[in-house]
Amino acid sequence: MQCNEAKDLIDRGENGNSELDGHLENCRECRAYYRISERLSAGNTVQDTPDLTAKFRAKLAGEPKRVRTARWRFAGLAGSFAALLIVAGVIFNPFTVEPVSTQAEELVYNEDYDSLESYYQLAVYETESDTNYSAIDYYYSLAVY
Amino acid sequence: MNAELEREFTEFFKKTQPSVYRIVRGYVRSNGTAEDIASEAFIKIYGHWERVRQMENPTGYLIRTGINLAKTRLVRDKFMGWMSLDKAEEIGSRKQTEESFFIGEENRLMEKELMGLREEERNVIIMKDIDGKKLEEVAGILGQKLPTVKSFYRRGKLKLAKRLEEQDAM
Repeated sequence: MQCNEAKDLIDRGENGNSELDGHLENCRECRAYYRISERLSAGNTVQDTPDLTAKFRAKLAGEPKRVRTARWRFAGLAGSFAALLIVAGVIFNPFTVEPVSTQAEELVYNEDYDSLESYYQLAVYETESDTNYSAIDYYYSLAVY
Repeated sequence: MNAELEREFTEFFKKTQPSVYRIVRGYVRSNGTAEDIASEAFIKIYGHWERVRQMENPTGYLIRTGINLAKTRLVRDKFMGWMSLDKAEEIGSRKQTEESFFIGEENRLMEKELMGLREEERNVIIMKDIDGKKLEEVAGILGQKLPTVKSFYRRGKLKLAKRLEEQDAM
């Protein structure tokens, strides 16, 4: 008998088999396996489990009631929809001002250097952003060159 | 919850409470805390009973809920131990007053070694040998394949036997 077969028999509780007994006499590992199985499943070795009914009922009584009405579900859906609209509005905002660099890029592309220069003069006084300022500088130097 | 659902839940509660209690007890190692956590797991199941009862494996869901709650409690206790000296003392004293799982002094060492096994090995041994379930049932409850469960079971028991033999306690 192979060890696996012996352990299968032990696991199924099919002891008292002469072949198994013979195997157990010669195999130390299976003998230990058999003995620990007997000890664990002896039944009278484990403390009784307590009845949890009273504890469960007491906890349940102290638990706030979860009432989920259709109205709340609708509120959840409406909230999600509103959030979606806000995100879409931010992404596809029709009032977005075209970035300075794009306008300047277009002027360079059209070789409209006069407009670019007046654009530059105007922008130097008006712009507050360092990024825009350096972008304009870049396109102006490109145009002058 | 209507009367029919309540009756079904009560049956489920009676049938599964020893299992969930013992599994949770293996994590928290205190009878009182295990009772507390097992009851909490049932409260969670009760709140979603209409959905849980239709699941393929409601017992498995309950046991997983119990395990998660037990692990959360352990982490919380550890964290509270770091945070406050008073709490650390309280948790320490609770550990010292741990009640035993097995009956008799001769089984104290077996209990210690069983609790020291890997959680998968311990859970399978508790369900199979102590709750008396078949390995096929255990596999169903844990949502794992039978060979996997069998391997945890055998490896755990051999480890346990070896450790007890080393201490002349077999």
